[in-house]
Amino acid sequence: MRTPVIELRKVTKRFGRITALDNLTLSTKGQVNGLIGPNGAGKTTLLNILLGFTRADSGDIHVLGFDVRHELAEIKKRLGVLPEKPGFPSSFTGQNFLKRVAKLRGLSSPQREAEETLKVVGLLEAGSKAIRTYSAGMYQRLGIAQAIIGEPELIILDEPAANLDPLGRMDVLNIIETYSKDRGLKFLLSTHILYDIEKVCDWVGLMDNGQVREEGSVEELISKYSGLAFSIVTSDLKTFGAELAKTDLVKSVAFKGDSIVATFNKDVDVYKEVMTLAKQIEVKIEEVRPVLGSLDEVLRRVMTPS
Amino acid sequence: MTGKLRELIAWELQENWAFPILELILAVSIIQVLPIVSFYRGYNDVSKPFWPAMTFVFSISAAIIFGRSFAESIEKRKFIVLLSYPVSRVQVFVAKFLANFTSTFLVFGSILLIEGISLFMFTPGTSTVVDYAKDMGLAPTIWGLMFLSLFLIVFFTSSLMTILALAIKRLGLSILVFLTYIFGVQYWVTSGGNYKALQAALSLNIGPHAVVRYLTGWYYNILGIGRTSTEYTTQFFTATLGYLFVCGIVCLIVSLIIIRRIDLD
Repeated sequence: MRTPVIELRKVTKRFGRITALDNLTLSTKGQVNGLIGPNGAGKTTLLNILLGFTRADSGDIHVLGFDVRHELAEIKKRLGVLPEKPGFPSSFTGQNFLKRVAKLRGLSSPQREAEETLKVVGLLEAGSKAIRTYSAGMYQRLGIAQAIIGEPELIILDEPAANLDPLGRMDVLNIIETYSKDRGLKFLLSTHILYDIEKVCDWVGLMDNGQVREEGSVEELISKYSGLAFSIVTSDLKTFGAELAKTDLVKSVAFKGDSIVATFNKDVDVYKEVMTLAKQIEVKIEEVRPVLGSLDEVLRRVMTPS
Repeated sequence: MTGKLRELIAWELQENWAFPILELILAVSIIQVLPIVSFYRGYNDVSKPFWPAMTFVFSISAAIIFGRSFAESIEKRKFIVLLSYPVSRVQVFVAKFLANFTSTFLVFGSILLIEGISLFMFTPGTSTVVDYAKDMGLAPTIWGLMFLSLFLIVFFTSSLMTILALAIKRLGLSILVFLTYIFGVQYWVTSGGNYKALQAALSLNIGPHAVVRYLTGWYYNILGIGRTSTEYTTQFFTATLGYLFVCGIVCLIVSLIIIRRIDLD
Protein backbone atom coordinates (compact mmCIF):
# COMPACT_ATOMS: atom_id res chain seq x y z
CA MET A 1 0.00 0.00 0.00
CA ARG A 2 1.31 3.45 -0.88
CA THR A 3 2.32 5.60 2.12
CA PRO A 4 0.18 8.75 2.22
CA VAL A 5 2.13 11.93 1.55
CA ILE A 6 0.60 13.40 4.67
CA GLU A 7 -1.48 11.85 7.38
CA LEU A 8 -3.05 13.85 10.19
CA ARG A 9 -5.15 12.64 13.08
CA LYS A 10 -7.14 15.00 15.28
CA VAL A 11 -4.80 17.93 14.77
CA THR A 12 -5.73 21.19 16.45
CA LYS A 13 -3.95 24.54 16.30
CA ARG A 14 -5.16 27.71 17.95
CA PHE A 15 -3.81 31.24 17.76
CA GLY A 16 -5.33 32.88 20.80
CA ARG A 17 -9.07 32.67 20.31
CA ILE A 18 -8.81 31.73 16.66
CA THR A 19 -8.89 28.05 15.85
CA ALA A 20 -6.82 27.63 12.71
CA LEU A 21 -7.09 23.83 12.57
CA ASP A 22 -10.01 22.18 14.26
CA ASN A 23 -9.51 18.53 15.15
CA LEU A 24 -8.38 17.90 11.59
CA THR A 25 -8.06 14.35 10.33
CA LEU A 26 -6.73 13.89 6.83
CA SER A 27 -4.88 11.42 4.66
CA THR A 28 -3.80 12.30 1.15
CA LYS A 29 -4.01 9.55 -1.42
CA GLY A 30 -2.53 10.92 -4.61
CA GLN A 31 0.77 11.54 -6.33
CA VAL A 32 -0.07 15.21 -6.83
CA ASN A 33 -2.22 16.38 -3.96
CA GLY A 34 -3.96 19.72 -3.74
CA LEU A 35 -5.41 21.76 -0.91
CA ILE A 36 -7.93 24.43 -1.83
CA GLY A 37 -10.11 26.69 0.20
CA PRO A 38 -10.79 30.33 0.94
CA ASN A 39 -8.43 32.64 2.84
CA GLY A 40 -8.25 31.67 6.50
CA ALA A 41 -9.27 28.08 5.75
CA GLY A 42 -6.11 26.83 7.48
CA LYS A 43 -4.09 25.70 4.44
CA THR A 44 -0.93 27.65 5.21
CA THR A 45 -1.13 26.80 8.92
CA LEU A 46 -1.35 23.16 7.94
CA LEU A 47 1.73 23.45 5.69
CA ASN A 48 3.62 25.34 8.43
CA ILE A 49 2.88 22.51 10.85
CA LEU A 50 3.97 19.87 8.34
CA LEU A 51 7.29 21.69 7.89
CA GLY A 52 7.91 22.20 11.60
CA PHE A 53 7.65 26.01 11.35
CA THR A 54 4.72 25.94 13.78
CA ARG A 55 3.79 23.36 16.38
CA ALA A 56 0.32 21.86 16.60
CA ASP A 57 -1.42 22.05 19.97
CA SER A 58 -2.49 18.43 19.71
CA GLY A 59 -2.79 15.52 17.30
CA ASP A 60 -0.55 13.21 15.29
CA ILE A 61 1.15 14.38 12.10
CA HIS A 62 3.07 12.21 9.67
CA VAL A 63 4.79 13.24 6.45
CA LEU A 64 5.95 10.41 4.15
CA GLY A 65 5.38 8.11 7.10
CA PHE A 66 7.66 10.06 9.46
CA ASP A 67 6.46 11.73 12.65
CA VAL A 68 6.84 15.51 12.35
CA ARG A 69 7.55 15.93 16.06
CA HIS A 70 10.33 13.39 16.33
CA GLU A 71 11.61 12.76 12.82
CA LEU A 72 11.65 16.22 11.25
CA ALA A 73 15.27 15.80 10.12
CA GLU A 74 14.34 12.66 8.17
CA ILE A 75 11.41 14.48 6.57
CA LYS A 76 13.55 17.47 5.56
CA LYS A 77 16.03 15.21 3.77
CA ARG A 78 13.21 14.14 1.46
CA LEU A 79 11.53 17.51 1.05
CA GLY A 80 11.58 20.48 -1.30
CA VAL A 81 9.51 23.48 -0.26
CA LEU A 82 8.26 26.69 -1.76
CA PRO A 83 6.83 28.56 1.24
CA GLU A 84 4.28 31.35 1.02
CA LYS A 85 5.96 34.72 0.26
CA PRO A 86 9.49 33.34 0.55
CA GLY A 87 12.47 35.58 1.29
CA PHE A 88 15.52 34.70 -0.78
CA PRO A 89 18.90 36.33 -0.18
CA SER A 90 18.71 39.34 -2.48
CA SER A 91 22.46 39.89 -2.79
CA PHE A 92 23.05 36.36 -4.16
CA THR A 93 22.87 35.61 -7.86
CA GLY A 94 20.25 33.03 -8.83
CA GLN A 95 22.95 30.51 -9.67
CA ASN A 96 24.94 31.11 -6.52
CA PHE A 97 21.79 30.75 -4.44
CA LEU A 98 20.86 27.43 -6.01
CA LYS A 99 24.43 26.21 -5.68
CA ARG A 100 24.32 26.91 -1.96
CA VAL A 101 20.93 25.20 -1.67
CA ALA A 102 22.38 22.17 -3.49
CA LYS A 103 25.26 22.08 -1.03
CA LEU A 104 22.87 22.23 1.94
CA ARG A 105 20.97 19.34 0.38
CA GLY A 106 24.22 17.42 0.13
CA LEU A 107 24.08 17.03 -3.66
CA SER A 108 27.25 15.76 -5.30
CA SER A 109 27.52 18.32 -8.13
CA PRO A 110 26.03 21.60 -6.88
CA GLN A 111 27.15 23.65 -9.87
CA ARG A 112 25.69 21.24 -12.41
CA GLU A 113 22.47 20.78 -10.43
CA ALA A 114 22.06 24.56 -10.16
CA GLU A 115 22.51 25.06 -13.89
CA GLU A 116 20.17 22.22 -14.84
CA THR A 117 17.44 23.44 -12.49
CA LEU A 118 17.77 27.02 -13.73
CA LYS A 119 17.28 25.64 -17.22
CA VAL A 120 14.14 23.74 -16.18
CA VAL A 121 12.50 26.90 -14.78
CA GLY A 122 13.68 29.09 -17.64
CA LEU A 123 16.16 31.19 -15.68
CA LEU A 124 19.44 30.01 -17.14
CA GLU A 125 20.27 33.39 -18.68
CA ALA A 126 19.21 35.32 -15.58
CA GLY A 127 21.21 33.00 -13.33
CA SER A 128 24.19 35.33 -13.20
CA LYS A 129 22.12 38.32 -12.08
CA ALA A 130 21.50 39.32 -8.47
CA ILE A 131 18.16 38.12 -7.11
CA ARG A 132 17.27 41.69 -6.15
CA THR A 133 17.00 42.52 -9.86
CA TYR A 134 14.45 39.73 -10.56
CA SER A 135 10.84 40.47 -11.46
CA ALA A 136 8.06 38.92 -9.36
CA GLY A 137 7.62 36.15 -11.91
CA MET A 138 11.35 35.36 -12.03
CA TYR A 139 11.42 35.33 -8.23
CA GLN A 140 8.60 32.80 -8.19
CA ARG A 141 10.38 30.63 -10.77
CA LEU A 142 13.48 30.73 -8.59
CA GLY A 143 11.27 29.58 -5.72
CA ILE A 144 10.15 26.60 -7.77
CA ALA A 145 13.78 25.90 -8.69
CA GLN A 146 15.03 25.82 -5.09
CA ALA A 147 12.17 23.46 -4.23
CA ILE A 148 12.80 20.96 -7.03
CA ILE A 149 16.61 21.01 -7.08
CA GLY A 150 17.97 17.55 -6.37
CA GLU A 151 14.54 16.02 -7.04
CA PRO A 152 13.39 15.45 -3.45
CA GLU A 153 10.81 12.75 -2.82
CA LEU A 154 8.09 15.25 -1.85
CA ILE A 155 7.69 18.82 -3.05
CA ILE A 156 5.41 21.16 -1.12
CA LEU A 157 4.37 24.28 -3.01
CA ASP A 158 2.36 27.05 -1.37
CA GLU A 159 0.68 29.09 -4.09
CA PRO A 160 3.12 27.96 -6.82
CA ALA A 161 1.53 30.08 -9.54
CA ALA A 162 1.45 33.32 -7.56
CA ASN A 163 2.84 36.30 -9.53
CA LEU A 164 3.15 34.30 -12.72
CA ASP A 165 1.68 35.32 -16.06
CA PRO A 166 -0.45 32.73 -17.92
CA LEU A 167 2.56 31.32 -19.77
CA GLY A 168 4.55 31.14 -16.55
CA ARG A 169 1.67 29.30 -14.91
CA MET A 170 1.53 26.80 -17.72
CA ASP A 171 5.28 26.26 -17.37
CA VAL A 172 4.94 25.56 -13.64
CA LEU A 173 2.06 23.14 -14.22
CA ASN A 174 4.11 21.39 -16.90
CA ILE A 175 7.04 21.09 -14.49
CA ILE A 176 4.74 19.51 -11.90
CA GLU A 177 3.33 17.09 -14.46
CA THR A 178 6.78 16.14 -15.76
CA TYR A 179 8.30 15.65 -12.33
CA SER A 180 5.35 13.64 -11.05
CA LYS A 181 4.69 11.44 -14.07
CA ASP A 182 8.18 10.93 -15.48
CA ARG A 183 10.24 11.03 -12.32
CA GLY A 184 7.74 9.79 -9.76
CA LEU A 185 7.99 12.75 -7.36
CA LYS A 186 5.10 13.50 -5.03
CA PHE A 187 3.57 16.94 -4.68
CA LEU A 188 1.42 18.78 -2.19
CA LEU A 189 0.03 22.06 -3.50
CA SER A 190 -1.90 24.76 -1.75
CA THR A 191 -3.55 27.19 -4.11
CA HIS A 192 -6.52 29.42 -4.78
CA ILE A 193 -6.41 28.72 -8.49
CA LEU A 194 -8.84 25.90 -9.13
CA TYR A 195 -7.73 25.40 -12.71
CA ASP A 196 -4.26 24.43 -11.47
CA ILE A 197 -5.72 21.85 -9.13
CA GLU A 198 -7.98 20.43 -11.85
CA LYS A 199 -5.11 20.25 -14.30
CA VAL A 200 -2.46 18.52 -12.23
CA CYS A 201 -3.88 17.05 -9.02
CA ASP A 202 -5.13 13.50 -8.64
CA TRP A 203 -6.31 14.08 -5.06
CA VAL A 204 -7.81 17.21 -3.61
CA GLY A 205 -8.89 18.36 -0.15
CA LEU A 206 -11.35 21.22 0.22
CA MET A 207 -10.57 23.14 3.42
CA ASP A 208 -12.76 25.58 5.29
CA ASN A 209 -12.61 26.87 8.87
CA GLY A 210 -9.74 24.60 9.81
CA GLN A 211 -11.40 21.43 8.60
CA VAL A 212 -11.41 19.35 5.44
CA ARG A 213 -14.97 19.53 4.15
CA GLU A 214 -14.49 17.16 1.22
CA GLU A 215 -11.69 15.06 -0.21
CA GLY A 216 -11.13 12.73 -3.12
CA SER A 217 -10.08 12.76 -6.74
CA VAL A 218 -11.16 15.74 -8.82
CA GLU A 219 -13.50 13.53 -10.87
CA GLU A 220 -15.11 12.06 -7.76
CA LEU A 221 -15.83 15.45 -6.28
CA ILE A 222 -17.16 16.92 -9.49
CA SER A 223 -19.47 14.00 -10.17
CA LYS A 224 -20.63 14.03 -6.55
CA TYR A 225 -21.59 17.67 -6.61
CA SER A 226 -22.74 18.16 -10.14
CA GLY A 227 -24.32 14.77 -10.67
CA LEU A 228 -27.91 15.86 -11.35
CA ALA A 229 -27.38 16.86 -14.98
CA PHE A 230 -27.14 14.03 -17.51
CA SER A 231 -26.44 13.85 -21.20
CA ILE A 232 -28.59 11.25 -22.99
CA VAL A 233 -28.23 9.97 -26.56
CA THR A 234 -31.07 7.90 -28.03
CA SER A 235 -32.26 6.55 -31.37
CA ASP A 236 -35.12 9.08 -31.33
CA LEU A 237 -34.12 12.20 -29.48
CA LYS A 238 -37.28 14.19 -30.15
CA THR A 239 -39.73 11.57 -28.85
CA PHE A 240 -37.65 10.64 -25.85
CA GLY A 241 -37.08 14.28 -24.89
CA ALA A 242 -40.77 15.09 -25.13
CA GLU A 243 -41.81 12.05 -23.07
CA LEU A 244 -39.12 12.69 -20.46
CA ALA A 245 -40.25 16.29 -20.03
CA LYS A 246 -43.79 15.08 -19.25
CA THR A 247 -42.62 13.02 -16.24
CA ASP A 248 -41.98 14.36 -12.74
CA LEU A 249 -38.45 12.96 -12.89
CA VAL A 250 -36.84 16.06 -14.34
CA LYS A 251 -36.55 19.77 -13.71
CA SER A 252 -35.61 20.61 -17.28
CA VAL A 253 -34.89 19.03 -20.64
CA ALA A 254 -32.84 20.70 -23.37
CA PHE A 255 -31.66 19.54 -26.79
CA LYS A 256 -27.95 20.03 -27.43
CA GLY A 257 -26.70 18.81 -30.80
CA ASP A 258 -27.27 15.06 -31.01
CA SER A 259 -28.04 14.66 -27.31
CA ILE A 260 -30.52 15.67 -24.63
CA VAL A 261 -29.31 17.36 -21.45
CA ALA A 262 -31.75 16.69 -18.65
CA THR A 263 -31.52 17.91 -15.08
CA PHE A 264 -33.10 15.32 -12.81
CA ASN A 265 -34.73 15.84 -9.49
CA LYS A 266 -32.90 14.80 -6.36
CA ASP A 267 -33.08 11.13 -5.32
CA VAL A 268 -34.04 9.94 -8.79
CA ASP A 269 -32.34 6.73 -9.85
CA VAL A 270 -31.42 8.19 -13.23
CA TYR A 271 -30.14 5.10 -15.05
CA LYS A 272 -33.08 2.92 -13.97
CA GLU A 273 -35.76 5.51 -14.81
CA VAL A 274 -34.22 6.36 -18.19
CA MET A 275 -34.09 2.70 -19.17
CA THR A 276 -37.68 2.13 -18.01
CA LEU A 277 -39.00 5.09 -19.99
CA ALA A 278 -37.05 4.08 -23.08
CA LYS A 279 -38.52 0.59 -22.91
CA GLN A 280 -42.04 2.00 -22.55
CA ILE A 281 -41.80 4.23 -25.64
CA GLU A 282 -39.59 1.76 -27.50
CA VAL A 283 -36.59 4.03 -27.98
CA LYS A 284 -33.06 2.70 -27.94
CA ILE A 285 -30.69 4.30 -25.40
CA GLU A 286 -27.19 4.76 -26.78
CA GLU A 287 -25.55 6.70 -23.96
CA VAL A 288 -26.31 8.11 -20.51
CA ARG A 289 -23.58 10.01 -18.70
CA PRO A 290 -23.38 12.73 -16.05
CA VAL A 291 -22.54 16.19 -17.28
CA LEU A 292 -19.49 17.14 -15.28
CA GLY A 293 -19.27 20.63 -13.90
CA SER A 294 -16.08 22.17 -12.56
CA LEU A 295 -14.22 22.20 -9.27
CA ASP A 296 -15.29 25.79 -8.98
CA GLU A 297 -18.88 24.61 -8.78
CA VAL A 298 -17.96 21.97 -6.20
CA LEU A 299 -16.13 24.48 -4.06
CA ARG A 300 -19.06 26.88 -4.17
CA ARG A 301 -21.45 24.20 -3.06
CA VAL A 302 -19.21 22.75 -0.37
CA MET A 303 -18.37 26.12 1.15
CA THR A 304 -21.96 27.38 1.09
CA PRO A 305 -24.04 24.32 1.81
CA SER A 306 -27.71 24.74 0.92
CA MET B 1 32.57 21.77 12.27
CA THR B 2 30.11 19.95 10.03
CA GLY B 3 29.84 20.69 6.32
CA LYS B 4 26.34 22.06 6.72
CA LEU B 5 27.35 24.43 9.52
CA ARG B 6 30.24 25.67 7.39
CA GLU B 7 27.89 26.18 4.47
CA LEU B 8 25.40 28.05 6.65
CA ILE B 9 28.16 30.31 7.97
CA ALA B 10 29.30 31.06 4.41
CA TRP B 11 25.66 31.76 3.47
CA GLU B 12 25.25 34.13 6.41
CA LEU B 13 28.49 35.98 5.73
CA GLN B 14 27.61 36.46 2.08
CA GLU B 15 24.10 37.63 2.88
CA ASN B 16 24.53 39.74 6.00
CA TRP B 17 27.92 41.29 5.29
CA ALA B 18 27.23 42.10 1.66
CA PHE B 19 28.03 45.58 0.37
CA PRO B 20 27.71 48.13 1.91
CA ILE B 21 27.45 46.92 5.54
CA LEU B 22 31.12 46.00 6.09
CA GLU B 23 32.38 49.01 4.16
CA LEU B 24 30.15 51.37 6.15
CA ILE B 25 31.20 50.00 9.53
CA LEU B 26 34.88 50.18 8.61
CA ALA B 27 34.58 53.72 7.25
CA VAL B 28 32.67 55.06 10.26
CA SER B 29 34.99 53.29 12.70
CA ILE B 30 38.14 54.65 11.10
CA ILE B 31 36.68 58.16 10.98
CA GLN B 32 35.86 57.83 14.68
CA VAL B 33 39.19 56.40 15.74
CA LEU B 34 41.82 58.27 13.74
CA PRO B 35 41.25 61.73 15.31
CA ILE B 36 41.89 60.17 18.71
CA VAL B 37 45.55 60.04 17.83
CA SER B 38 45.59 63.78 17.09
CA PHE B 39 43.26 65.09 19.77
CA TYR B 40 44.06 62.91 22.74
CA ARG B 41 47.83 63.06 22.76
CA GLY B 42 49.16 62.91 26.22
CA TYR B 43 46.10 61.22 27.68
CA ASN B 44 47.28 59.01 30.45
CA ASP B 45 44.84 56.21 29.69
CA VAL B 46 44.74 54.97 26.14
CA SER B 47 41.38 53.34 26.66
CA LYS B 48 39.66 56.55 27.62
CA PRO B 49 39.34 58.18 24.20
CA PHE B 50 38.83 54.93 22.30
CA TRP B 51 35.83 53.46 24.04
CA PRO B 52 33.50 56.47 24.20
CA ALA B 53 34.33 57.25 20.58
CA MET B 54 33.46 53.73 19.56
CA THR B 55 30.46 53.08 21.82
CA PHE B 56 27.96 54.41 19.33
CA VAL B 57 29.55 52.49 16.45
CA PHE B 58 29.61 49.27 18.49
CA SER B 59 25.99 49.61 19.45
CA ILE B 60 24.62 50.58 16.05
CA SER B 61 26.69 47.90 14.32
CA ALA B 62 25.59 45.13 16.68
CA ALA B 63 21.99 46.29 16.36
CA ILE B 64 22.08 46.32 12.56
CA ILE B 65 24.07 43.12 12.08
CA PHE B 66 22.21 40.92 14.56
CA GLY B 67 18.89 42.64 13.93
CA ARG B 68 19.17 41.91 10.21
CA SER B 69 20.38 38.41 10.84
CA PHE B 70 17.56 37.38 13.17
CA ALA B 71 14.64 39.84 13.33
CA GLU B 72 14.61 40.87 9.69
CA SER B 73 15.26 37.33 8.62
CA ILE B 74 12.10 36.21 10.45
CA GLU B 75 10.14 39.27 9.32
CA LYS B 76 11.04 38.81 5.64
CA ARG B 77 10.58 35.04 5.77
CA LYS B 78 14.22 34.28 5.00
CA PHE B 79 14.44 32.16 8.12
CA ILE B 80 11.74 29.74 6.99
CA VAL B 81 13.41 29.39 3.61
CA LEU B 82 16.59 28.28 5.38
CA LEU B 83 14.66 25.97 7.67
CA SER B 84 12.98 24.29 4.72
CA TYR B 85 16.38 22.77 3.84
CA PRO B 86 17.81 19.79 5.71
CA VAL B 87 19.20 21.86 8.58
CA SER B 88 18.01 22.24 12.16
CA ARG B 89 16.98 25.42 13.93
CA VAL B 90 19.97 25.11 16.26
CA GLN B 91 22.37 24.77 13.32
CA VAL B 92 20.96 27.91 11.71
CA PHE B 93 21.15 29.79 15.00
CA VAL B 94 24.71 28.72 15.76
CA ALA B 95 25.85 29.52 12.22
CA LYS B 96 24.29 32.96 12.27
CA PHE B 97 25.63 33.86 15.70
CA LEU B 98 29.12 32.51 15.05
CA ALA B 99 29.42 34.19 11.65
CA ASN B 100 28.25 37.58 12.87
CA PHE B 101 30.01 37.53 16.23
CA THR B 102 33.34 36.52 14.75
CA SER B 103 33.07 39.07 11.95
CA THR B 104 32.09 41.87 14.31
CA PHE B 105 34.92 41.05 16.68
CA LEU B 106 37.43 40.87 13.84
CA VAL B 107 36.28 44.20 12.37
CA PHE B 108 36.48 46.04 15.69
CA GLY B 109 39.64 44.19 16.65
CA SER B 110 41.19 45.55 13.46
CA ILE B 111 40.07 49.04 14.40
CA LEU B 112 41.63 48.68 17.83
CA LEU B 113 44.78 47.48 16.16
CA ILE B 114 44.75 50.47 13.81
CA GLU B 115 44.47 52.76 16.81
CA GLY B 116 47.34 51.01 18.55
CA ILE B 117 49.56 51.21 15.47
CA SER B 118 48.65 54.89 15.02
CA LEU B 119 49.52 55.69 18.60
CA PHE B 120 52.81 53.87 18.29
CA MET B 121 53.66 55.61 15.02
CA PHE B 122 52.52 59.15 15.67
CA THR B 123 52.82 59.75 19.40
CA PRO B 124 56.04 58.11 20.48
CA GLY B 125 56.93 60.79 23.01
CA THR B 126 53.67 61.00 24.93
CA SER B 127 52.94 59.35 28.17
CA THR B 128 50.14 56.90 27.57
CA VAL B 129 49.31 53.78 29.44
CA VAL B 130 50.80 51.86 26.57
CA ASP B 131 54.05 53.78 26.75
CA TYR B 132 54.11 53.33 30.46
CA ALA B 133 53.40 49.68 30.11
CA LYS B 134 55.96 49.42 27.34
CA ASP B 135 58.57 50.83 29.64
CA MET B 136 57.70 48.19 32.12
CA GLY B 137 57.55 45.52 29.43
CA LEU B 138 53.84 45.11 29.88
CA ALA B 139 52.52 46.35 26.56
CA PRO B 140 51.36 42.94 25.34
CA THR B 141 49.41 42.39 28.54
CA ILE B 142 47.72 45.78 28.35
CA TRP B 143 46.77 45.20 24.72
CA GLY B 144 45.61 41.76 25.67
CA LEU B 145 43.30 43.33 28.24
CA MET B 146 42.07 45.78 25.64
CA PHE B 147 41.15 42.94 23.33
CA LEU B 148 39.59 41.00 26.19
CA SER B 149 37.43 44.05 26.92
CA LEU B 150 36.49 44.29 23.27
CA PHE B 151 35.61 40.62 23.23
CA LEU B 152 33.38 40.96 26.30
CA ILE B 153 31.60 44.00 24.93
CA VAL B 154 31.04 42.54 21.47
CA PHE B 155 29.88 39.28 23.05
CA PHE B 156 27.45 41.06 25.35
CA THR B 157 25.99 43.38 22.69
CA SER B 158 25.71 40.48 20.22
CA SER B 159 23.90 38.23 22.69
CA LEU B 160 21.61 41.01 23.88
CA MET B 161 20.62 42.02 20.35
CA THR B 162 20.11 38.36 19.41
CA ILE B 163 17.65 37.71 22.21
CA LEU B 164 15.77 40.96 21.52
CA ALA B 165 15.59 40.25 17.79
CA LEU B 166 14.24 36.75 18.39
CA ALA B 167 11.77 37.79 21.05
CA ILE B 168 10.44 40.84 19.19
CA LYS B 169 10.77 39.47 15.63
CA ARG B 170 10.67 43.02 14.19
CA LEU B 171 13.85 44.78 13.05
CA GLY B 172 12.91 48.38 13.85
CA LEU B 173 11.40 47.72 17.23
CA SER B 174 14.19 45.41 18.38
CA ILE B 175 16.83 48.03 17.44
CA LEU B 176 14.92 50.70 19.35
CA VAL B 177 14.65 48.57 22.48
CA PHE B 178 18.31 47.59 22.22
CA LEU B 179 19.61 51.14 21.87
CA THR B 180 17.35 52.40 24.63
CA TYR B 181 18.69 49.75 26.93
CA ILE B 182 22.32 50.12 25.92
CA PHE B 183 22.49 53.87 26.34
CA GLY B 184 20.22 53.76 29.33
CA VAL B 185 16.86 55.43 29.66
CA GLN B 186 18.47 57.77 32.18
CA TYR B 187 20.93 58.93 29.57
CA TRP B 188 18.16 60.30 27.41
CA VAL B 189 16.37 62.05 30.25
CA THR B 190 19.46 63.50 31.92
CA SER B 191 19.14 67.27 32.01
CA GLY B 192 22.39 68.28 33.62
CA GLY B 193 25.72 66.72 34.34
CA ASN B 194 26.45 63.03 34.36
CA TYR B 195 24.92 62.25 37.69
CA LYS B 196 21.81 60.54 36.34
CA ALA B 197 23.73 58.96 33.52
CA LEU B 198 25.94 57.27 36.03
CA GLN B 199 22.89 55.68 37.55
CA ALA B 200 22.51 53.79 34.29
CA ALA B 201 25.45 51.81 35.48
CA LEU B 202 24.51 48.82 33.41
CA SER B 203 24.49 50.80 30.19
CA LEU B 204 27.27 50.70 27.65
CA ASN B 205 27.39 54.46 27.77
CA ILE B 206 29.87 54.09 30.57
CA GLY B 207 30.27 50.35 30.41
CA PRO B 208 33.08 49.89 27.89
CA HIS B 209 35.35 52.43 29.40
CA ALA B 210 34.58 51.13 32.83
CA VAL B 211 35.44 47.60 31.84
CA VAL B 212 38.85 48.57 30.52
CA ARG B 213 39.48 50.86 33.44
CA TYR B 214 38.68 48.10 35.88
CA LEU B 215 40.67 45.59 33.96
CA THR B 216 43.77 47.76 33.81
CA GLY B 217 43.26 48.93 37.38
CA TRP B 218 42.99 45.36 38.48
CA TYR B 219 46.17 44.55 36.65
CA TYR B 220 48.05 47.53 38.08
CA ASN B 221 46.83 46.53 41.44
CA ILE B 222 48.35 43.11 41.07
CA LEU B 223 51.59 44.81 40.13
CA GLY B 224 51.35 46.79 43.32
CA ILE B 225 51.28 50.26 41.78
CA GLY B 226 48.69 51.75 44.09
CA ARG B 227 44.85 51.48 44.22
CA THR B 228 42.94 49.54 46.77
CA SER B 229 42.71 45.90 46.12
CA THR B 230 39.16 44.99 47.13
CA GLU B 231 37.53 47.92 45.33
CA TYR B 232 39.00 47.07 41.96
CA THR B 233 38.68 43.35 42.28
CA THR B 234 34.97 43.66 43.10
CA GLN B 235 34.35 46.23 40.41
CA PHE B 236 36.26 44.20 37.89
CA PHE B 237 34.21 41.17 38.70
CA THR B 238 30.91 43.06 38.59
CA ALA B 239 31.65 44.97 35.43
CA THR B 240 33.13 42.17 33.40
CA LEU B 241 32.38 38.65 34.48
CA GLY B 242 29.35 39.48 36.59
CA TYR B 243 27.65 41.59 34.01
CA LEU B 244 28.93 41.43 30.45
CA PHE B 245 30.04 37.82 30.38
CA VAL B 246 27.35 36.18 32.50
CA CYS B 247 24.54 38.28 30.99
CA GLY B 248 25.89 37.50 27.54
CA ILE B 249 25.86 33.76 28.29
CA VAL B 250 22.36 33.95 29.79
CA CYS B 251 21.06 35.88 26.76
CA LEU B 252 22.59 33.28 24.47
CA ILE B 253 21.06 30.34 26.32
CA VAL B 254 17.63 31.97 26.41
CA SER B 255 17.97 32.77 22.68
CA LEU B 256 18.65 29.10 22.01
CA ILE B 257 15.53 28.13 23.92
CA ILE B 258 13.50 30.73 22.00
CA ILE B 259 14.80 29.58 18.63
CA ARG B 260 13.83 25.99 19.40
CA ARG B 261 10.29 26.91 20.42
CA ILE B 262 9.43 29.96 18.34
CA ASP B 263 6.49 29.81 15.91
CA LEU B 264 7.60 30.96 12.46
CA ASP B 265 4.25 31.60 10.84
